Amino acid sequence: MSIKHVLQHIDLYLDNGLSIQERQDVEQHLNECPYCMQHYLRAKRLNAELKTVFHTALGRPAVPPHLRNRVRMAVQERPHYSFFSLNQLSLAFNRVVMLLVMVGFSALAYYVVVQEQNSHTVPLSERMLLSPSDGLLTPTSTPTPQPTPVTVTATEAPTSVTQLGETITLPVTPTAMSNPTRIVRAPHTVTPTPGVVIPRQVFEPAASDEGDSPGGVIAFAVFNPEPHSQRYELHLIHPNGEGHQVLPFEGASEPALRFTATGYQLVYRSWGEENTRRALLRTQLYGSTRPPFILGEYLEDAQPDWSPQEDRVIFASNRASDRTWRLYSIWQDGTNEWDLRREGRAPSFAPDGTHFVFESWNPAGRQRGLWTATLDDAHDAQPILLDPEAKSPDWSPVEARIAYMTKQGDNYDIHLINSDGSNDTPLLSSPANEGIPAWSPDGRWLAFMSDREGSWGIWIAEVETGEAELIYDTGRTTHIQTGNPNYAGREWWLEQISWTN
Amino acid sequence: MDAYNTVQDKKRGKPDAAELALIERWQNDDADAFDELYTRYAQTIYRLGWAMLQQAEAAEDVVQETFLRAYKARHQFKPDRASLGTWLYQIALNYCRSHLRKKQLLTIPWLHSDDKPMDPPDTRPGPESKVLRGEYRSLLWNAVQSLSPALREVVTLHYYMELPAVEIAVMLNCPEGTIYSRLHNARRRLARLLAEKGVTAPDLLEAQNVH
Repeated sequence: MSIKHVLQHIDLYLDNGLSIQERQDVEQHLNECPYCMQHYLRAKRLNAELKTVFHTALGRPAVPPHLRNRVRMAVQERPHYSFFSLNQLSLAFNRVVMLLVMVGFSALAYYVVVQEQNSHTVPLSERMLLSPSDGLLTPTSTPTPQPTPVTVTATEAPTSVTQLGETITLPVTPTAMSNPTRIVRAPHTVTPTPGVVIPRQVFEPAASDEGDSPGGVIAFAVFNPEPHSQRYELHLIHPNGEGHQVLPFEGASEPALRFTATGYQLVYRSWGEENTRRALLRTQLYGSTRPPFILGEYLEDAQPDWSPQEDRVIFASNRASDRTWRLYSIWQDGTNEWDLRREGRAPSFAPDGTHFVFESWNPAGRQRGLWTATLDDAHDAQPILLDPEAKSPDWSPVEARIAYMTKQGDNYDIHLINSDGSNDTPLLSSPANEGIPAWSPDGRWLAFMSDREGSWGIWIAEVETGEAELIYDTGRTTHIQTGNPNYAGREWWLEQISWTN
Repeated sequence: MDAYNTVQDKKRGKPDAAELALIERWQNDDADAFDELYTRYAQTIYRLGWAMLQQAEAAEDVVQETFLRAYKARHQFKPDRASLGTWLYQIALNYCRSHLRKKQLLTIPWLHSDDKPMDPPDTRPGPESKVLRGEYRSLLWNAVQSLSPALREVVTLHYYMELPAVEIAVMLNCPEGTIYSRLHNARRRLARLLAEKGVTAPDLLEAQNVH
């Protein structure tokens, strides 16, 4: 065996990569050849040093005991129930329905053909269940009663918007716009429990709605840099500045709040502080003692937005291994998560619950700006504004207008743009920053974050006049989060504000 | 050659009957199975995450995401390919890789000199702040940190996690030979980096005494 041959094998010998016969050959050669032996000893020494260095530098840390609970929650409290996951269930259900439809069709076809052969007196169309003129009415059945209008005075006046050549129709109920009085709701029955009980002061309709003061509740998150906290806190406040409260969720941000049939539903990003699950969570505020419900399971899931029908949530996540931000949609009960197969961030639904606007770019990573798409065809998105600095779009809940933030010089301002890309106008611009806009439910006001008075705060502005008013002052002049590595690299515009009835 | 194959099989860690039973219980959503799995593997996964990412919080995330992703994909686990441990470490490693890739986007490499860690300054005591015995070892550690991700990964798995090359090969989904050559390249590169720093080769006499 030549010298060179053994030198090549020394590493393999040390790493146990040789067969028994080869090992013996190497050992024999090493005993005979001092040159190879020297190399072997040096390699062996480096091996030993590497092992020592790794163990000295990294130590042997033990798993923190609290982690078991956190991981168990992650795995077991999943929205898909054990034994029979809802996904499988709906798949099976789909198959059964498909089968039934196919059986039904063949029976119908058989019936039609046989009847056709038996009698040629009755025209085909009258025997078919679906008559071509009357829609779903069968020729013999009594006419079904016309559906009574459910909405009180919602005069259907669909706004049609020309969007890049094609005309889309957005159902717009102008009642919310023209009639500023809010829907009066029956008071909630709240049974206080020793669990998380949140005072209800926000709910009492704070100021009366006389005049032009906006109603509803605004949710936002602020990083608390105090040494004992070092995490995000979720705040609720009435738009007149009253009823401010901090929700008892540790490390919670990016709120999306909706008033639904079952009460106030809050979707937020949990950062896994205090042994909470790090994921996108949904919880019912007030009157429920259930723990938060996991909506987006991955810790990267972010920036949720409710559909106006309150049946689903759209969100962004860079959970995939290529770390690209993509859009996902999920039903509010946590089932049917759906990869929209579209790169983008900060999605916001249009009033029709199908269209949405988001920050995006073309497949080559260029043409950054605001894009719109529909749920059914999200990969066929269209740009409405090419501006790499355009961020955090929010689609008005009543019309085809979008508020977004963009950089003018060295600070961010808030602009308005129509959903077809026309009429891009600045609404709020000052030497300070204005950003992360959120429309009021009636579409007449915008809530936003700004450092206009030196410290950061939540402001509201009337869209028509642009007059702004500070409703909550954080008292802090910086938004940099350095203390907690969970939030490394986060910028203030990655947060979001939510305004609901 | 048969004996060799048996050894290789053992190194690959084909699951035994007890482990197969545990896996089956886990795949059938037995709640206790999770606890048992966690007890068996969480420590190793945590250390893997700690060694790869060198941040305590990030290592905790590695454990959470590994068990979550494994749970979601539990029916895809094939006991005849690799042991459950190897499969879990593979998931953990993939998560670490994507995490590192994400971090690379945030840091600007040319601002960091060789002597500094890649991580942003961290107030908590990290691996670098502990005193290493002797200049040679601290220089060696810095040299390890400056290896390319692929080499550092293999070196970490081999020297810190003390995994045999066969198992690393299964984890990285590549031939065993690739692991040997990466280990070889890494050692050569480390020796060269140390030589550039003017550090003499470790004391051969001492090594000989050890031998």
